Amino acid sequence: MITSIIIMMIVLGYIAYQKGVDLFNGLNLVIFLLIIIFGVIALIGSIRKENEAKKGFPAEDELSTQIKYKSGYYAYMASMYLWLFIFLLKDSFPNTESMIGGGILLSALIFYISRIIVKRGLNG
Amino acid sequence: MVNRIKELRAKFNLTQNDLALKVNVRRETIVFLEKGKYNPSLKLAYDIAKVFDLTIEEVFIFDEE
Amino acid sequence: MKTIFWPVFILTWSLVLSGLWIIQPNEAPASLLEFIFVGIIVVFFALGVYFGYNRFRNKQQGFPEDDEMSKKITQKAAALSFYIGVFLWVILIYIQSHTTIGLNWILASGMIGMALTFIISWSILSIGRIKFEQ
Repeated sequence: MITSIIIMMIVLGYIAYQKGVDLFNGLNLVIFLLIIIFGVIALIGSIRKENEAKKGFPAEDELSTQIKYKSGYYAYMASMYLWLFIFLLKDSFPNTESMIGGGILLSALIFYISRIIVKRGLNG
Repeated sequence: MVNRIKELRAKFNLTQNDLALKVNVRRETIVFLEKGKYNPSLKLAYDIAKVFDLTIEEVFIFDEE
Repeated sequence: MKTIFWPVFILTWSLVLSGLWIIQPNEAPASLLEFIFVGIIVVFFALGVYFGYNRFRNKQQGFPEDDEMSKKITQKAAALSFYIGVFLWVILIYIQSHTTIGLNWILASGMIGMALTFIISWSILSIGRIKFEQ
């Protein structure tokens, strides 16, 4: 997830720079802020994992793997429908980058939400 | 499925951290196990039982229903 | 997971994807791409029928339609497809900004790509019985 956010930031940043897109305007600003929020969340998560690793705990165990798969499964289902909605509403976006970039960020948001739901409802 | 991890941990004077390190999982996993919110794999159940020198059935109690 | 969920999910998506393919205006003269799209949709449809038949047969023989392992395989395959899908969309943004490929094609490719990734990872996991432990 961290790698994908970093790659996405680089690609979006490069495209925005090349096309001279104003990052502080309307939908672009929302996407820009979402990228920063996800970046910060991912960074905090990785620091926490590193601290745990220093104490001798494994970075991943069977529970975290199960949570990862379950939340990925729900995120996959939801994101398929999300892209379908984006396809149907494609004319209401100002440009392609904000449309696809927004879709990726919403997918990431869905993933975080499903992660929270899965954690709460384990074995449920 | 219910388990006696919390009770046994207290008996053996182990913290959640200690048990997690002994069975090589994260502390969160022990928290979820104690709350009964997670069913461990056979390997983890075996490892935990081994820490307390008991059998799996003595630590994890299966409810038929 | 309900008995009928997967066959219905797959059949619905094959219909959605064929719909997307049909409504595409002739943005790019990519006949090979169209051919691939149709192929993928056919595979998707066939899988839906196969899943449906398998579940029906299992039920007839008294086996559970979904067991622990099949659930794990499905979850892992979907999760993998989601992670790969994120990268796929990033690549598609880049392609879109550097080529003249139409937006419909980009969106349809992304969705079909995600569906295809699921089919491939599910098949590999099912056939190979990849271990789930760390």
